[in-house]
Amino acid sequence: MTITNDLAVFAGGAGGGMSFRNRLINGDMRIDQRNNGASVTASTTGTDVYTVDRWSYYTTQTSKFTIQQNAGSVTPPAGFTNYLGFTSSSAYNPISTDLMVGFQWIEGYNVADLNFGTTNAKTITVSFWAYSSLTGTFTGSLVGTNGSTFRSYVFTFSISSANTWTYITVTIPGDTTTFSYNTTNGQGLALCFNLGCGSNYQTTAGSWTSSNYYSVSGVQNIVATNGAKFYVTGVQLEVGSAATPFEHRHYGLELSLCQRYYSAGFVDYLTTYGAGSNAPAVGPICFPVTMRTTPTLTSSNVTYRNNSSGLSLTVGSNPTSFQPTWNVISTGYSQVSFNWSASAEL
Amino acid sequence: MYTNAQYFAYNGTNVSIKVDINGIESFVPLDPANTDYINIMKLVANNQLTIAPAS
Repeated sequence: MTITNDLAVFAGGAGGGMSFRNRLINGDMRIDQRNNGASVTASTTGTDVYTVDRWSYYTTQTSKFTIQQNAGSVTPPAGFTNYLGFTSSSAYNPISTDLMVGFQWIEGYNVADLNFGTTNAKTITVSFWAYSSLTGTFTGSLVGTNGSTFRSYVFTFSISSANTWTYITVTIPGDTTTFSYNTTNGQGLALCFNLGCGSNYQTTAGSWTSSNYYSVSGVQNIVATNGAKFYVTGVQLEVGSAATPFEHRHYGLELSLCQRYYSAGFVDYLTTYGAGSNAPAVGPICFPVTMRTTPTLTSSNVTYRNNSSGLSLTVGSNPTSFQPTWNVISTGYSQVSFNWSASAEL
Repeated sequence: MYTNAQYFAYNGTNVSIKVDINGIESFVPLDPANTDYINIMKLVANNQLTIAPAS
């Protein structure tokens, strides 16, 4: 009889409350607004590649991985319908300065109560399902920042059976070293999965350290094997020293949480009158939810009517809406249709 | 990768940076909390990117 344990699970663990135990968003990889299930790769270095919502990939080398929701079409673990797959495109041995990592930044507001950087820092537990064509020891890390410098905690986990989903739990003590972790709308904590990194980013596992580290020496670098797979889903980061079942949230709610960082839409035949440059449109277009901060805007599939050109998207000082403008060459009405996207990623 | 950066003005005031991000034309607000703006300003500080004046 384990009434105490069952009640702890029912109550949502040490995080308190039955909902929002999981500080990660889209931990079950359901939502893929940008790519809609298509494969992505890194054609450049030094900028984040966005995969399924809220999950990114960073690399110092181009074209080393393809990343895709449900890559390889394997059966997800019970209770899940999606996963995020990283597939190595070649056999590459990282040099000392290399870094290839999949990660999610958690906004500072959503980890402020962890009290990291103080003597009251709370213990957290990370849990997830992992699947790989390789076996052995793998690494991940938790990284925090004050905006200019980093703290990190590298952890190891083991996959003993190839091509089999393995449930992993890792308990991490809170960081009690004095450090000003971001607790507002900037980067708070990042959960990272190492895919391949050089010695500059390797340290000792199991303790908090200054700077940003992602692995240890002598473990699996997935990038070193051509065709190697690393798939993950059901990723949860919660307060407490025990993992609770993955928090399945309603799809609409999870989508709204994602849209704080990325949203997209289509505007059909927006109309204005009068000629001129940067002619004002009929009104601002609102984002589905208030975004984390003023977003970067892009447009695509732009179609004009009546001698128009030069669509520009401007956003004011608030992260709630944007204003399309375009050049109207002749008098009378002018129309434009376009897809838009807004990114306020961390 | 950020290329072809130019300030974009509306009613005579710079309101964003028009820039290609990995080849896609984008409008980055002048917001110090925007990640693209942070990245662009780092490149400018390191003389790796120049932002042209608004046309």
